[in-house]
Amino acid sequence: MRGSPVTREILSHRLTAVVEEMAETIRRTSFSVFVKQTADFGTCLVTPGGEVFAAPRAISGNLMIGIPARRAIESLGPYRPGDVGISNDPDATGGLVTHLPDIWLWAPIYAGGRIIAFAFSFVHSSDIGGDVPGSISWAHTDRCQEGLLIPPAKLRAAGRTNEALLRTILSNTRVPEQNRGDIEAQLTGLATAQRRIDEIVTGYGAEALGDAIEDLLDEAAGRAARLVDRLRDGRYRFVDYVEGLEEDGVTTVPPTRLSLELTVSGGSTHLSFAGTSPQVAEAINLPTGGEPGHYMLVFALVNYFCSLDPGIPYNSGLVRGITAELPPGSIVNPGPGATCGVRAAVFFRIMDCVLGCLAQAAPESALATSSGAVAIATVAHADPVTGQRQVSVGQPLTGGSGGRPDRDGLNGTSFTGGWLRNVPNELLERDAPVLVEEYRYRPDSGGAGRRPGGAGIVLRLRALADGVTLAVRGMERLLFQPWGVNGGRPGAPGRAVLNPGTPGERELGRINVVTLAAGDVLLIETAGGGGLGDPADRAPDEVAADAARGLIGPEQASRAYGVVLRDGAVDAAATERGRASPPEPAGPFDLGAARRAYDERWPQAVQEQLIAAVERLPRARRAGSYRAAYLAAQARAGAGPVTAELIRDVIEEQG
Amino acid sequence: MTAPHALRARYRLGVDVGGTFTDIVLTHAEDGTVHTAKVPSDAARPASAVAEGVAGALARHGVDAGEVEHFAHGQTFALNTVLQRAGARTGLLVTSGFPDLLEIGRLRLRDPIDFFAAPRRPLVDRADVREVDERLRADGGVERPLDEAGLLAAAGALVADGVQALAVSFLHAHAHPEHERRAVELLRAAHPGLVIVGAAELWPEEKEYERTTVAVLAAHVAGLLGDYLGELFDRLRALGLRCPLYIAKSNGGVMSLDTGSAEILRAAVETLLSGPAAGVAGAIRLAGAAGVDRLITMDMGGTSVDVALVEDDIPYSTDSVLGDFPLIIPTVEISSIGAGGGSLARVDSSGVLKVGPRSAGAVPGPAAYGRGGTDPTLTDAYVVCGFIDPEDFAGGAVTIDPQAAYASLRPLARRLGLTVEQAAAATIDVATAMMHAQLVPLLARRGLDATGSHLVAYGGAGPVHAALLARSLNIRRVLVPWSPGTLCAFGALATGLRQDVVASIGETTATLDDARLERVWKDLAEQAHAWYARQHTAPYQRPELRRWADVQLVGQSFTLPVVLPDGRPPTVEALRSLFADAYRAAYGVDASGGELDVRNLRVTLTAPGDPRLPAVAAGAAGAPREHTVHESGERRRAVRLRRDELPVGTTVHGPLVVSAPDTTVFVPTGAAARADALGNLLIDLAPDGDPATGQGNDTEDRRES
Repeated sequence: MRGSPVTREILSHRLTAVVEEMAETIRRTSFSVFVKQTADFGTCLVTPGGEVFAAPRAISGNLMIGIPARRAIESLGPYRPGDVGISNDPDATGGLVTHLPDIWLWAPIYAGGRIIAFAFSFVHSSDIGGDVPGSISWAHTDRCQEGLLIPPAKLRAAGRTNEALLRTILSNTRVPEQNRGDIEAQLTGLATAQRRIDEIVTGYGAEALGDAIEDLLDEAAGRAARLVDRLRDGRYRFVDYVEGLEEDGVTTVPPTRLSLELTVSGGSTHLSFAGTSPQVAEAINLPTGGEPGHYMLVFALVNYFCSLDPGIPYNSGLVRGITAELPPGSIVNPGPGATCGVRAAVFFRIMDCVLGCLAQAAPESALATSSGAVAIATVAHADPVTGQRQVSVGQPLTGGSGGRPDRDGLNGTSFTGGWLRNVPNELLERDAPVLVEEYRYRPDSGGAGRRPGGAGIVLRLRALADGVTLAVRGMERLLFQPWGVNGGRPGAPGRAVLNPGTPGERELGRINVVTLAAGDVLLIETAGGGGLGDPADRAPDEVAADAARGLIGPEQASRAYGVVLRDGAVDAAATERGRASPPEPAGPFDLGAARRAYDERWPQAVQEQLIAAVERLPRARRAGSYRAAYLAAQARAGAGPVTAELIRDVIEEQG
Repeated sequence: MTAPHALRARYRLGVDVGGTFTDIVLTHAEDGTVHTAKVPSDAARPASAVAEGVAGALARHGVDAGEVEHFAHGQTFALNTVLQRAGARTGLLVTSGFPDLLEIGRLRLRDPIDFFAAPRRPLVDRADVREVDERLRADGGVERPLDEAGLLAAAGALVADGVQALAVSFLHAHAHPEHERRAVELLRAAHPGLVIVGAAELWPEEKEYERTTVAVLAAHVAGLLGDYLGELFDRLRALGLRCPLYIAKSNGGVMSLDTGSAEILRAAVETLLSGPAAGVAGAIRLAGAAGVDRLITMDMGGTSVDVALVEDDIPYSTDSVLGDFPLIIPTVEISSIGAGGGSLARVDSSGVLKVGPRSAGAVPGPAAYGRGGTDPTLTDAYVVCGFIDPEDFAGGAVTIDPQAAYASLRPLARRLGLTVEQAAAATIDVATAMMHAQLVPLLARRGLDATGSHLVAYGGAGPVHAALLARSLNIRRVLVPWSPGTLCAFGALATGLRQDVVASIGETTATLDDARLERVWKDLAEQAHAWYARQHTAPYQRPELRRWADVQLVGQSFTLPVVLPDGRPPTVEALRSLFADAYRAAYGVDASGGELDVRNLRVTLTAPGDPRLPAVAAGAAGAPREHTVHESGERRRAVRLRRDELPVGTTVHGPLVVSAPDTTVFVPTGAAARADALGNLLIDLAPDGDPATGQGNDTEDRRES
């Protein structure tokens, strides 16, 4: 420790106050509905070298630990007091920005005439231009569709605002007043940071502050290393997918493969994403700038550290010990200009890969995975009085969390999107001509286990007028189930059905956009979390309690747990017989039937072969070639497995 | 109703029941003289403990119960019942399709990155929730009629299974109460004597989860609270109290205690924060009399500091949280921050000094109390630093053992490589930093700058720590009110009648017309006046109504409160212009073009309380006694005084410790404290004047230590 442990604790509180005050200022004064409803904004303080040393935990979203700030900082140097940088450019900021609606601002913070830190903030704006309102669509294949790109620039130079730049930005969005409000809110927040740091320096001195910053980072790094020491040394692999698209049973878009190998040795961790799918044409690429500790790669790891050691300082020291291989041109390190509006799907699936590796490295503290998706449903309709198109506030749809050591999974919400607030159904029905028939936990959806996965949510709504349009983006885990671990079973996959139980019943897959006529019913069921541990080890009384809470029905109790319920009570004799049969032997993971079938059709080695072959092509061709080769090989394989020969053939044909 | 006027009535009684102590304030209605007392609370027999405390206080001061003209009561009974989940086993009947309403809530996790987060635990067990076949649309149209037989069967089954109270909450009942009202009627007929709560009847605000929570809280608490208040009523009457009795509400006002069983349901949810709210009301009253209208209240107890940020009026929240439960009923906005006097200090595995969140509680308490505690607390740190006078603490009710305080901090000091005094100072500094760190974001949330505010300190430990916290926030002035240990009891006496009513109308300005606005506000005003008519109103001034609304831009999900000034006609045009002003003030953005979504209309009725202030005994100058304090790592000569040794107008300079029967005030080096005629001690942290403000210096009766 450089400074005193007392000053370090005092300044830790004071620095937290600075970033929380910034966050509260932005929350109060910004305009974006994302700030108010989904907490999609952030603030932090960063060392001149680019490490985050203070960030709020509870006010905003939790995506500040591991932001790569160095490139953004360097892009505008040298700085003078009163300078403020701005950008939403993923490439030029080296992955600080991961999609264009996030507008980042940063400012140098001075102590005694020299830069002691940078304050950073971002707000997810309601719109930054481009070809759709809100600026986000999976179908974007050209970055110009995604809106205005702001390369790093000084929005303020020595306190003077670059009005031309500001006007240019505001002239290119659909909600200029809101954007102006968001930017001004951030400017206020940044000014607050300098004022508060001044107070700290007056009270404690710049040297003590500098020491405390380094001590806090070192302490986080040291404590994280001690947690890593508890993991078993070795190499652990986990592969998971962002699902593809099918039309009439035929694949049109292949799944995106995320392959992670976690190497733990001597207290350090290495994340290799070799074997991950090449970048794709559509907007799910995740720009990381190739930064090993990037916030969207390490989120699960950071949460794991903070969960196991609740007092650990919350800063980028947590990710200091992480190295990574991020293949250039892959979906986790795409080339310049890759579209990225919906990069969250890849972000969430990486969380699952990290948890899958950790489950192997520390089986005793393994967590099963969450429902793994955050979909936001918005309802649009023509107002019967004014004829104007009205859009309701979005209803977030997420599912249960996975089973946890000594705790059941959380129902209806999870760690992918645990910061989201829902919209009361009464408001939804008043704002749009729909009737919510059901909004409840989804029975039998949590994966069975000693610690069951949390239940998903059922949302069943009926249109009360013609022309009600539902836009639902971000549905995932419709095919590949949230996996169970250490004997736990997978959670039920999500699904969306139009007019269930009628002759016109139709599976809607990811939905995207569906227009309903009066009387049409849309049923959305989100995925349950995966189970942890052998279901046979769950006490019959706990199973009966789950049934009494409506989480499982008697059939599931019997089928998944071998517990026989009569009128809600455990039939002890029948249960004993039911439980006598040994559980299916399984590896650490139960990935579910769909995933097993997929792995048979597309053996992992063959997938790797295809990815490796495509990686040898010029970067510009990879996305197209990968898809074409994948679809061709699969079509040629028919119902059988895709083989190494097939891959060689199709690659050769593509030249 | 009017107060039955007793012939010799001339005393007013305020009582606040806290977890450890019951505070009693007895004032003489004419000359304003005040007596205070603290007696132990007794959770096992709360009503008789209060009655005995009152009887003791009256006897001690030779007051006959018949001479008491006013009794106001703050209680924690309802809150404790909720927090301990000790009330009635409650069943919930909800619209079919929404059985998990209470558990789903609003989804958001308290700490979204904690993989081991515990789920929200509703007050109603899921197995005690029944779905009822009925459904109204948002416009009131009947989608499915109420299945009356099914309702009665479901309720019957719950009751047969041992459920002791029922809450009913149907979708859209806040606007279209027909089904819910009918259900409640049927259930009351079928189960006479059972507590049955209709959510919309109790609090008709849009948002099904929050409204249902109100109903469930009421159902859970009402039975026990009714018993408690009934017993208290009987016992006070048996003592000979014939005056009207009032109970403090979470909104900082009071209501009559004896207005019948229908009011108990509302009392159950409107008095959950009774004591702390009365404290804020009392602080505002006393500070206001001293000419202070911008203040931060600082009520410091054993585990935390309760703060409220005040600009002129009581700050309200319609979005507060009690443990696992949201509370949408307007409530004084109070936040718990930092550490309290009982918070434990320790060195963590990284060698860092931490304070709290664990507390030594009332038992065993700080080591210095000699009740078996050996771990160091913040109070022990005060003792070691000399911020408490060990020979004069809590009016002699607690004996301070400085050696025990030293001994408790010694292991900590050793681990930190510090002297015991340095370790104590470090403990206090860390606690200050925690309070600072949590207060600053609260100020930012409201857009306030602390520097121009007064810090108003009360509670046992507040005045010990107030100057230190003020200094860290660049607040120049601290006000320690008269009798800071019994401020909640005083506040209950000083505040007025207050009632909030709400109607969710949920209509945009595209269709809303002036007639509807006028009609709904008029109806709310009638409800408020009907409530007022059931109160004993004699001790209070004429009632005032405030009309306000929750308004947002169409498509937004966050409202702003818009107050319709007195005399302004209730028109849509007025709302538009007031909203545009409020929006500009809050966000600095012109929103005057946008269509508005008017979610709720509200009316608040207030009948201000007795404006008289306590007359405080003048005090006589005493000889300051020598003392030693440890400040900023230095040992300094200081003095100690008793509060009654500071006559009105006296100014004294720190370092100084002032002991009163209910608190200790620490005045640090460089600060000065002046006793004013209202009994306040005003601490100025920059008595030599702040060049920036040009404010001068108090010159009278300077007394150097």
